[in-house]
Amino acid sequence: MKTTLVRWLLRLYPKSWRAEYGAELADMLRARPLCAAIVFDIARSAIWQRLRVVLPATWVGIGLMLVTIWAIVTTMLAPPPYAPSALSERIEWLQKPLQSEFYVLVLFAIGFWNAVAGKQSPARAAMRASVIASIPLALIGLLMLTGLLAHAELVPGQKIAMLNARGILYPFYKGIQQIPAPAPLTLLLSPLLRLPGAWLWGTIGGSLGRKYVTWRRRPINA
Amino acid sequence: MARKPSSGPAADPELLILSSLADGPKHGWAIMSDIETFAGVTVGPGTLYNAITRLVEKELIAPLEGDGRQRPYKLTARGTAALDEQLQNMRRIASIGLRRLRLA
Repeated sequence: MKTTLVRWLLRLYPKSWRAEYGAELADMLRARPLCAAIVFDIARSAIWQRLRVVLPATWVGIGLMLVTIWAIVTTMLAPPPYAPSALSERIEWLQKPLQSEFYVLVLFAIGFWNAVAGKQSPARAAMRASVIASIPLALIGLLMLTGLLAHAELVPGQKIAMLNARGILYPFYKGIQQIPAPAPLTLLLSPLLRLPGAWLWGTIGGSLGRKYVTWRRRPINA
Repeated sequence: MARKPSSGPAADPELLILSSLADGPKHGWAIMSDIETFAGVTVGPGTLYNAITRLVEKELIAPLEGDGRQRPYKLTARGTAALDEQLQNMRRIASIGLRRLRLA
């Protein structure tokens, strides 16, 4: 029982850390009684070790994911009214951060930075960030497919009540986005569908990053 | 079992480990027991190994080849210098504080 618990606790740590310190820590844990305080101490330590090895692209992806969640919640709680002026562009960005130029710029920057720092493949880093950022959209798609979230298509200027008989509404204004409302299945597959774009922008960023590294290392008198 | 204080030198596991290794190499278990003896605080195994990881990365301590699964750790030259500097600073601050307390 105790051996199983110790093995389970060690699995909380990253593999690379376990390879270095796992055997020592396991011996120490087996040699003393395992109380709740020690289990908590190990769990906290393991989380800290896991956070330390998280790739920068993952942090960027988590940041984008939070922006996406914020956009979804904002859209559901306070659907923007129809605004055909410059304001509508701002609303569109706030509502759809993963379709904005900012998102493309972030993917490009991830590719560039990874090529300069030589940390990870630029395209893979951009795809990782993109998949993480798209998780909330996939969840929205799943909720729609299971009928837990209703999808309302509205004409410009039409106001809605957030709750209807089917539950919470995810509103979509025709005219503002200039594109058809996203289908639940498209939203569910969003992390996969965004991969080619992420690969492209990550590769372009990485290519420019490599050119920058070559330029920086050129002989001064050349 | 003495609990870990929330502030002061005894709340810094890195300082406690460096101080424990000042009289020679020890493995994790021995470091933990030594800290309990000389500082009167218990450092959890997770906290201990987090601090050991950081100290190894900063090259303040280094693992030695051990017999079996427990590796002993030793202070490096940089670790000795860092510990000495930190303890000297603490002594200076402590002596000033104590002197001012007596005058007050």
